[in-house]
Amino acid sequence: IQCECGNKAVVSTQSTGEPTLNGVLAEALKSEESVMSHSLAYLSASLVPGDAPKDIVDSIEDIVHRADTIGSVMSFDGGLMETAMFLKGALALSEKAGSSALTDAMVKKFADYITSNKDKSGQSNLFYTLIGLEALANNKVLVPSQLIVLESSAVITPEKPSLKLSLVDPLGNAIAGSGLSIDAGQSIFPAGKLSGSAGVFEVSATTFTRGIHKVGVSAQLPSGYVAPDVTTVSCKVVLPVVVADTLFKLIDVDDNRVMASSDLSSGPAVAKGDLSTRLMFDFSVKEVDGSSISLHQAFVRFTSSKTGQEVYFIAQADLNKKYSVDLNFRTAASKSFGSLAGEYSVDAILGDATLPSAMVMKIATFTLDLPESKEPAADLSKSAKPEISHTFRTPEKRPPQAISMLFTGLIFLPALVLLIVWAKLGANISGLSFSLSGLCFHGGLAAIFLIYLNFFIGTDMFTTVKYLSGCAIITFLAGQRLLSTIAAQKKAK
Amino acid sequence: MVVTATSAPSMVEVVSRLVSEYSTRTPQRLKLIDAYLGYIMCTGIIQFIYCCLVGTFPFNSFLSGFISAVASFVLGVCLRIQSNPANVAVFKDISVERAFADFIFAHCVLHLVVLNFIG
Repeated sequence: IQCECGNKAVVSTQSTGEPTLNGVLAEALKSEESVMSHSLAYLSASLVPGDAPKDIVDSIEDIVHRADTIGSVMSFDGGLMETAMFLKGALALSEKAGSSALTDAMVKKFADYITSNKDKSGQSNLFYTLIGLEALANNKVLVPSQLIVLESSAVITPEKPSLKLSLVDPLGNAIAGSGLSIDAGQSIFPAGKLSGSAGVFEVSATTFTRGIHKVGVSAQLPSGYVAPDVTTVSCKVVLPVVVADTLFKLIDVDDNRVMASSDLSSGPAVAKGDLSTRLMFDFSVKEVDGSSISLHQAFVRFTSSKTGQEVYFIAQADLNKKYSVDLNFRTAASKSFGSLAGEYSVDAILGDATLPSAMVMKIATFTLDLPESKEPAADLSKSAKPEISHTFRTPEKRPPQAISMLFTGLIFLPALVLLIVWAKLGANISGLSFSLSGLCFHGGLAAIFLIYLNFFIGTDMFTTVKYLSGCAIITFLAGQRLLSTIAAQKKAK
Repeated sequence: MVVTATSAPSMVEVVSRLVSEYSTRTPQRLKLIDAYLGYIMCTGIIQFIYCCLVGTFPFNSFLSGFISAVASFVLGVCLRIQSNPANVAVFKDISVERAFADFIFAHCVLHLVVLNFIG
């Protein structure tokens, strides 16, 4: 905060050119620790006329070592604001002093941090991003540069053979006075310096070889600029293909004779087949100059005109890059076609990264005859199946209520019998004492069983145990007293 | 005691002698307990027949009821043994009242557990 005041003091006295301002700054800086106050001090020192004080310039090196490097980005703890203000102050002061404690690598990592910062905390981020990028772009000491490909020109076709590249500073402006040259060692572009000016360069491909190529480039930059990290550009050469040597054949497996054969020169074939048919389709894919190539994707698709279902088969390429599809309908009819008879439209689909666009060629219209079967055709459509709703476990059957009530009644019978037998044997309650212990004991027992009944009806174990513990103690003590009096009475007898 | 010297006693004679000895020799207290044990056994048997008839659906209920009957029987047998005057030499420290107190306490615990498990 002292340094903010210092900064304001500097700006207000700039017109008078007080030579002791640097002393004021140095004094204020001695008691400050934070990165922000140092950054503001650097900014102030760069504005004050006269030489920059040595200790302040030297402190840049110490402060920059407080930054954290995570992977390829470098930043201060305080985030975007602190990093941007530090760059502004340190680069301005370095420019005035003519030397920089920041290195090429540091400047590149700071630039990466500012452009990749994902802090979402507010609108001041736009301001500080611009502060940081402007400081990096407009200083005369160290400006990190970047190589970019313009107008998606990395896709090379015979119609658009030129690759457009540019060397830009952190604000996206092309660097005047820079040069770019292509290294030898790749086959598409001529090696050597690229033509162009003011940071925008162009080169035209001379040889077109299908595929993805890595082109090495080297940059020549004026002083004060740091060369970019990226030194290769990935280019893709895209060329059209021609489908040739097509042969569509239907063979009857049982008779071993060819039923239909066509090279598709007069358009798509029309053919019929049944379970004993074998369908063979061969083709090769050639470059414009006649050499065979292989593609990433080559399929043959059967589309049912009845239900719109599509069945795909992959065309396999042999060692001579000749593609073929071989279908035996005895197995394929049920396995792949779901036993769905009818007319199918047969197309070949070719795709690759180096094709200008995917190719769909109609080969034939094929009618599949299948014997009438009682099973319905398998549903190969991709529509949603019927929804499954969960059925809960059905509880087991309970016995009829009459039987349960009968047995409940039956349980009480032995109790009655017991009472009768006891009476006959002469059990009596003549010895029941109504003393305190006796009452407490019997009352306590009754209370315990009432608590149990309450538990059975509904309450939980916690309340039961709570009441039980109290009751049990009383009953225990009373019972002990009672039984010991009985024992004493018996001894006395 | 009348025993036929020449032939082994028949089944009927053994049983009738057992019954008469039981009714004369056994103290009243033990007969009361025996009646109680018979009652418990009947209850257990009735529960078991019910389960065989209708299946074990709430198995926990069947188990808790049956085990309650079995455990009560066991506790009753225990009480009978401990209060038998003929066994006083074995159970020197345990008076009849103490045996009865144990019986009551064990029953309280048993009924708490059974009521919890019966569901």
